[in-house]
Amino acid sequence: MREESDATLIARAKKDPEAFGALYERYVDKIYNYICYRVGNDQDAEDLTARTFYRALDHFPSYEDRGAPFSAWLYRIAHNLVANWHRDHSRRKMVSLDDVVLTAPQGQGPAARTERSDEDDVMLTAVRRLAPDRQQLIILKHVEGMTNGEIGEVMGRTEGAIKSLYHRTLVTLREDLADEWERLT
Amino acid sequence: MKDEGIAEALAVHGERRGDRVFADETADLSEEERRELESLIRVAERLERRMQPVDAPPAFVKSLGKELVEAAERRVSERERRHRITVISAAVAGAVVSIASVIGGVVVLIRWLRTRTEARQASTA
Repeated sequence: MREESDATLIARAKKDPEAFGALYERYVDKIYNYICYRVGNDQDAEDLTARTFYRALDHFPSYEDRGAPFSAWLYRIAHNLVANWHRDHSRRKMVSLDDVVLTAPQGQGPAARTERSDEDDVMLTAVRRLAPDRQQLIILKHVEGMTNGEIGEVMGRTEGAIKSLYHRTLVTLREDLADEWERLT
Repeated sequence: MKDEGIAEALAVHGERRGDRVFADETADLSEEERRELESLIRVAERLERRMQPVDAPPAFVKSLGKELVEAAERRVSERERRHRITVISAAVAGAVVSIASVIGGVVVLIRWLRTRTEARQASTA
């Protein structure tokens, strides 16, 4: 059976809760993935994922399809919640850099986590030092596998602006990681 | 120009549009620009290897999905209830206005008839 398009599900979800559930199932992994890489721990990733979908549900009656993918709307909600989360955490000064180093993928278990190479940590910590928009770009591109055009829709920028930002981000990362990589190799 | 060419080549490489497109895109780059591009591609490839997708815990996905559908059901029934209340209120308000109009009309008619009768009586007297 052919999968329903987002537009069909969105139209149906205004009256049918099950259709909203189907939209949730379609995007929950992507949103969780994005948030997990931005906040670096499972508990906050789950909390913020839940809040993203509850906020989407709250604002769903006024959601209008303006041509951008539905996922772009969800990513924007998630991005705003993550930004608030970082603001709150930096205000409270409760989270050290060590605490926010990105976690290993779920399902690999604690043993696998301890086996992660130094290079993993170095790379992920460097990504976390980037400005929020650059972190978002790297996650959408390398974790979610989006094209520059799709990233542009999520971030509200042109494809050209995304290409240029990606280039500048790689240059920054290369400079940031040069010494570390030399040490590791 | 240099930056634009490298940014474009990175996009072609990142989106795997094929060797031919990549060759076309990099044809005009100088030797120095090619070295710069190769160095950035190495960074991108390391990112690609390190940043693997993370799976959301299935129990979390299932329980949140259930909660959301239940919340959506409550909101739909709440919206329907509010809609019903609005329709009933509008109907009641409409009925009240109609009855008031009829009563008003009757009062005006009675007054008009009374005034006319009084005027006739006055003229015959």
